[in-house]
Amino acid sequence: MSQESGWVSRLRLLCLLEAVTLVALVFVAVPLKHLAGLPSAVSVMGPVHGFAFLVLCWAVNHAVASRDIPPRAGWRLVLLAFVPFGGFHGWATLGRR
Amino acid sequence: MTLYLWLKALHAAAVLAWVGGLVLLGVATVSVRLGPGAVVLPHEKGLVHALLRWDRRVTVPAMFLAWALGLALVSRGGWFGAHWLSAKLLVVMGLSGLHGVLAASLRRRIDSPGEPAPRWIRFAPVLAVVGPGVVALLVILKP
Repeated sequence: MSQESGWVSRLRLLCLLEAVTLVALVFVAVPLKHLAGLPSAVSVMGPVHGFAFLVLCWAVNHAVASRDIPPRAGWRLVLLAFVPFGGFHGWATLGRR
Repeated sequence: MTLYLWLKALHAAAVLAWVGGLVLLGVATVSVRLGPGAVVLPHEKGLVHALLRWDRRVTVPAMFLAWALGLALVSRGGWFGAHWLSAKLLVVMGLSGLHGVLAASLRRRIDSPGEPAPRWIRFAPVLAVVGPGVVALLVILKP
């Protein structure tokens, strides 16, 4: 496996991880806090998602600086990370490269 | 000793390892002066590969650990929403970005020596020292 494809598969994995943590935060932890009175779900999932987001941003930045992916694709991945389920789209898009 | 203090101490240790690696990368990137027609000597190549290996094995894990412990501290300490923390997060994201660019740029300069580096990269060591300095001021003074 070349270094380029290694970075792309790492990015795909991180997109998936970020997407799963965002979905868990928005659709599980937040309703648990507001509907079931369990704020601990958000206080656990919030930092977990924050960490996944930071790692994704760092990896995208590294991949763009290494020219493994074009800057436009990098911006797209970061913007998708703000949208629930957007990371799944990024994961699928990178898979077609 | 409370869990919060343990997290704080480990966070500080991880940050020290990360910033040390970042300064090292900055100085190395500036020192490897390459440009059109440049040739990389074997000992320079060996040094850069050793640096990149150190980066992969020590600096990157330390950075991830610093983020994870920092987020745990923010969560346990209830610091979300504090202005000093928002400013600190911006600086931290900038330093993380700088790290990614420096590591990638150093690798690329060794692989293709003729390629000129961006002009701003000569300020990288200064940014790698000033950034953590600003973070220290924000964390201690909490303005």
